[in-house]
Amino acid sequence: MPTDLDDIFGSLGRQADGIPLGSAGQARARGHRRNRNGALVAAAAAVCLVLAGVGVTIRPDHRDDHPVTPAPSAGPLPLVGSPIEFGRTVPESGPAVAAGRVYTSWPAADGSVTAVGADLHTGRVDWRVTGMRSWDAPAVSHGVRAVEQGVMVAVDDQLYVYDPAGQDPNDWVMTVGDLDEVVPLEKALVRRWAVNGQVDAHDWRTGRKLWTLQPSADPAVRVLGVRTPGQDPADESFADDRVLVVTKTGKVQVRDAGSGDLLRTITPKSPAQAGSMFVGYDGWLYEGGPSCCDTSAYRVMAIDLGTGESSVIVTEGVGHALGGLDVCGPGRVCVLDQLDNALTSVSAIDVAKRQKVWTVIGPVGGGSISSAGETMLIGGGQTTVLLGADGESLFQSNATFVDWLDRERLLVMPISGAGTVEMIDIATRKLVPLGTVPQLSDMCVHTADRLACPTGNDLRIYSLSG
Amino acid sequence: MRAADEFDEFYRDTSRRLARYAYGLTGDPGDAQDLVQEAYARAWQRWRRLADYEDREAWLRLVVTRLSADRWRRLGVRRARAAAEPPPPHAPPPSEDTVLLIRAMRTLPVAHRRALALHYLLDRSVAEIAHETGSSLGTVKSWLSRGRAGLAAALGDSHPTFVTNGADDAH
Repeated sequence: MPTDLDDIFGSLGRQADGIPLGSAGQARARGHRRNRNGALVAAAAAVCLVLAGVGVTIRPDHRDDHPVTPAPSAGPLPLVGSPIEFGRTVPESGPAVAAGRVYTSWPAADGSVTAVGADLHTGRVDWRVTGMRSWDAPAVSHGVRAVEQGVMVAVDDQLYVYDPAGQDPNDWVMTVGDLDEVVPLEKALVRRWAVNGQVDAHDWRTGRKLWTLQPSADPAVRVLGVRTPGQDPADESFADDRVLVVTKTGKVQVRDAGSGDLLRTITPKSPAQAGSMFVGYDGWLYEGGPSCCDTSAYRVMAIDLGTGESSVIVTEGVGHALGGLDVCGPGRVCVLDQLDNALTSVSAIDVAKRQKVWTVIGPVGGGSISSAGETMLIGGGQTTVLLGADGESLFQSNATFVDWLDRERLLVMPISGAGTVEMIDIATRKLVPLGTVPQLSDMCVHTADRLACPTGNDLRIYSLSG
Repeated sequence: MRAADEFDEFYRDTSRRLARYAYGLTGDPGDAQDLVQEAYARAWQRWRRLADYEDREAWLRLVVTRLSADRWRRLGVRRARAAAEPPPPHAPPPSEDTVLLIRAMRTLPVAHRRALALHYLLDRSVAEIAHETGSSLGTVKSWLSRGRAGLAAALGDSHPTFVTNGADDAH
């Protein structure tokens, strides 16, 4: 029987009209809290490749094969030093860790922003900047990002760059638009202007422009860093000496990060696209994103930055969506595929052979993948699952925040925001309670042995090693 | 008028339409709730600058489109909200027709979903969609045509044939 699209969409519209929405006041409150720093500094990224599937086997995941020893109860997690008091209630204070310190920022009632850094092992505040002004008080947006080379404090559209080593008179500031990219490389802080594609590389200490790519007929649409195998996974900067510039026509320029000199221009088999997921790792660039045509949902490219060779290594059909990519071992890439927005699968692909080594069913609603060596953490849905090198399920948790402490251990945060912090030893699958934390107001950050959590009135540093 | 009052009035006037768009794009009431709140939160952050925009609703839709396409960012949004806000109230269960349409919409490329949502849920003409998306009229017509074909294919036996009111060109 014919169906009128207007009728069926009308039904959908009426359903949408019944969705309860928050109030305008709640939206404003969220806007007040919004930490815009995340938009200013490009994410360190995780990306990978995918290959055409040959001989794929779908296996059910055997979660029951590896039961996790339940954890006994624990007392409060031991504090390191004293809480860092904000002096007022700050619902969103977004801490960051780098080089042995935790950094956070918060606004005063008049809109001026303070940022501090504290030694993670003593808890002592040994770095402080005050008086960064906002013209939007009390709706100031603020945030902090830190790498070994510098501390970046965003206050509205101003990005202040500080030397974490001390009170450097050459600290500098630049105005950054919402859609601009700021990429922290070891050799330079690189910024791409969204308005015209200009790229500027700044000296970390002085802000002096080291090099500039002027706007061109084929402007830059993305700037990417490349991680190296030896880098600490928690390090947000990019240690490779090269910076990659993706242009509007889909070319990839490989440039020296320190001088901006063009080393190579790559024209990939399938043009690179600004909206794709990119992972630059160990001399390769992996790109996953929409394909050129509507006959496939996405494709993943592998580009050898050394030779300039490229190939499409995975294509998935209509109805699929790319949930995530990450390198998951030497010459291997893992892909999280989403079907119908809920069903997921994870595949490991041998890059050289362009073959799926295995495929397993992923957690329902999974939307993120993060690897440490050959082990993968799949999250984003209602469960987080740890997969081994051969796709076997090693651990699962209902917690929404599970992260790597190191390659052997996972940190499991309480679901409700208050409760017991746990650690799981991957080899033994033993769940160890580390201690309880009070209600949190924002995401915690951590190193292998320290956890820093905002409570709304202060930032507390905890020891994870007892 | 104070900025907050002006913003609240804008919210009252437009949030329902944005929810329709977000629901059409995502097919998930929870996602739609969250995306709408997030889009307005971002609007409030830059409210003074938005005052100069010709079409603030189009800006909101662009934010929703980008957020819905970026699962990593959505994750961040959800995590931050989970820590800071009480959960939103549950939406009523969808009708059978809606469930089928949502399933079918999810099989479509985002460009097709976006065009269909703008056209059928917000009553936007082909020309208006072309203007908003920065695309040609032909491209938008192609998106709508292929989107409808995709819906028909995905709905299969449940809805073997679609009839349209020919409104694509009439707006």
